[in-house]
Amino acid sequence: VSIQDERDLRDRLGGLLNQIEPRPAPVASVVRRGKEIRMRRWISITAGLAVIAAGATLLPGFLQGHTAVPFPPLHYKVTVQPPGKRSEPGLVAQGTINGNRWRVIVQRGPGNGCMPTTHLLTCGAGEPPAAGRTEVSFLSSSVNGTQFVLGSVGARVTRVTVQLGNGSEMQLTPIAFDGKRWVALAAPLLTMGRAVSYDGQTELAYSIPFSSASTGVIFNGWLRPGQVGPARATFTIGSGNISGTPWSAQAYVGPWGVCVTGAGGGSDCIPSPADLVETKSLNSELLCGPTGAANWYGGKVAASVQAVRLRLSDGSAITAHPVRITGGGKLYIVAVPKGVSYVRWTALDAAGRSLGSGTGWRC
Amino acid sequence: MKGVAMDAAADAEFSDFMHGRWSQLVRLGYGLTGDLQHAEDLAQTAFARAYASWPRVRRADNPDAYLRRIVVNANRNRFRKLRVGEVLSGSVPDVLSVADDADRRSDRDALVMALMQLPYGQRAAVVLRYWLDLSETEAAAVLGCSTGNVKSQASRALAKLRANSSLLEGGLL
Repeated sequence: VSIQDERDLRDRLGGLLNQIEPRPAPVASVVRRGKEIRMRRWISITAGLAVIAAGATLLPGFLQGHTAVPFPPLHYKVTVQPPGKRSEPGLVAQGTINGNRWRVIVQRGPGNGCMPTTHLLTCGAGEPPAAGRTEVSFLSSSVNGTQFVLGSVGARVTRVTVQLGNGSEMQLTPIAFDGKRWVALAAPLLTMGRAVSYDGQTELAYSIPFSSASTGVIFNGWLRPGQVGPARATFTIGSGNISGTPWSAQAYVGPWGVCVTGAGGGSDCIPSPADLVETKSLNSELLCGPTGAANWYGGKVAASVQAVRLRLSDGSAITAHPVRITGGGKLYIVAVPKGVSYVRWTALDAAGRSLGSGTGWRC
Repeated sequence: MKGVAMDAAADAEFSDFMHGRWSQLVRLGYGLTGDLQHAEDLAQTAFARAYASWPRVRRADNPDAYLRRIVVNANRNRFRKLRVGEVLSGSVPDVLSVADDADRRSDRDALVMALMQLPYGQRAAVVLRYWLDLSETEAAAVLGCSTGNVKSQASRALAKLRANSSLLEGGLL
């Protein structure tokens, strides 16, 4: 291809696209849709947390922000079937848990977020994001002891299996709807194990989920057949005391990637520890939001940063000491009492010298 | 664990952000779909998702890449569903100025038709590389593929466009 061709194409594309005149930016309607997306996500998260909180007496340490894994049930029976010919549009899968019926439905359109009830998970087709060709992009939602997963299936994937803790293996068949291919499953909380994607009989990829009381089961990262993910390790990346109640937050590294929990019940997962190695920003957001009596700020920092000082609106300051985790990323989480805002951060080196600073984050 | 509401200052910041990028994102969508209404839908979807994750997006190293990725991926899914109709469509939406003379309009229609006949990956590579002038690395990040794949997709697309008789007749490429 000659340069002349490329230049001609640039000129013609410019002549075509630069003259497109869209209507004025519909900011108000976009903000409205954005708020709906945020609200649905929030409802999904809080619904899951409500279940966990209800069972907190069975989960020692949860109220202190620790991630105690409850015992999954020992005896249960799960079935899954694809939708029938007369099923409602958007039904991805249905089945039973101990004889009780469950269903997962996708709603047409670009909507995001999910609304779980005990026997039904309804999600907008905008979630989860598109998957890699050999993988499944799963979202998880749990309510009343039931764990739902809904997956957007990669182009090469023709079937998916999910192992359960009772030794059974669920066979999931992708269903086409609204431009994506979907699989779904429901099972008792914390009973889902390894998921495998196949092209016919050929294994394409597998995923080991992260499981904790505060998150349920999360299929986060995918590995090639035979590939071994990072070794399992746990790092405490923040601790403290809010209104007399101690808390601590952990980063869990393993074949799922990295999952951070304990920030007042919030969590975040990253596919690989390598994604946390920050090269451009001294201090960037990992998670951020209000839960309980605090606003939680989790950050990843550059390798040179030894401490982050957060200046607050009441004149006080909190100093976070980032912890290096597997793969080299450095993470921290702090809790800021409600009613006090986070004004500014300063990144410090080992000698306490300022490496840089920035304005506090608004969540 | 994002909060539900953003404050007025953040909304104002988002509004500025959206105003500054709206036209370009719609044009990107048009290059991918050949349809202004779909292009605006894609751009709205991208901005709504950006708003929903605004605290993170505004601090991202490259928020534009985030928006472009949403547009490209959202349309990739739509394209899988509708590609037959798109390829066979004989009409191009009326989006250009009525003042355009017939020849220029014909050239543009021919280019839109030629773009729509490309496989989606090639079309996206062309628009990202030759309209937005993204580097192969930047385009690969948007498309979620390797730089080698971007290079080969763009190369194949150029070869097809060069061989497209409607463009040759227009005296271009």
